[in-house]
Amino acid sequence: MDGNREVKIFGESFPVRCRVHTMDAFSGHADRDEILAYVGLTPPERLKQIFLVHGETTQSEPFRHALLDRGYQDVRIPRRGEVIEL
Amino acid sequence: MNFEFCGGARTVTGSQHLLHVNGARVLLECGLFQGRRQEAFERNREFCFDSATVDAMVLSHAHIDHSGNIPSFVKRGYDGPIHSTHATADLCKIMLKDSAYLQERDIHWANKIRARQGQPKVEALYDAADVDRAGVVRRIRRREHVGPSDHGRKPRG
Repeated sequence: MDGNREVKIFGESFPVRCRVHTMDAFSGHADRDEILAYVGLTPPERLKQIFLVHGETTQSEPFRHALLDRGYQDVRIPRRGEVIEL
Repeated sequence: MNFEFCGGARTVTGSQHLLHVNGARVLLECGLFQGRRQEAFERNREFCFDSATVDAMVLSHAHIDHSGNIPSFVKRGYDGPIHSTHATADLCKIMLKDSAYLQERDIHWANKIRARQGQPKVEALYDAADVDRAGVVRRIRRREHVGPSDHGRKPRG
């Protein structure tokens, strides 16, 4: 992606002889706006807690704030091994 | 009732969430952690629960970061049903076999490097025989719908 002339595959270096294109079309994941639309189907007064998983903190944290801005009060990004009583 | 985040927390891959409800333990997803070899090696071998004590499992979709550690889960003593949709069950048949093949290939390379460093061989996380022997594919119970209502929207990836 960065135009490297060599890549390491299984610990061995290989020269890059192919052209590299980026395609985002194959991801099955909803993006920020799509997830906000999904969450938005349930209003804040009916959704007491939201747990954000399946994302890195650098992505989850801004998304958490987007939810807080929309009135969702308790939005958490649990750590691995965390137990939450419901 | 509580919810334990066993994987896929603050990271993308390795989704595993354990729900304790009415005395039952239900695992949602059993994904493979995919990252640097050493970290993946360790993470995929340590479960935050005893597999034999889990009562049921729900698999939302076939992506390897959600399904890829099912063979280890079964190898470690899980003996209950795995609930998924038809499409997920169909895909898992192919994907878990393929994943086993990749695990074997990967460990082959890792062992080559280890041999060079004079270190002993290590075993693959699971192999094709584990996928077969554990009856992972047979264990999958097909469901029309899995998970919360889609609120009338078209389901997507």
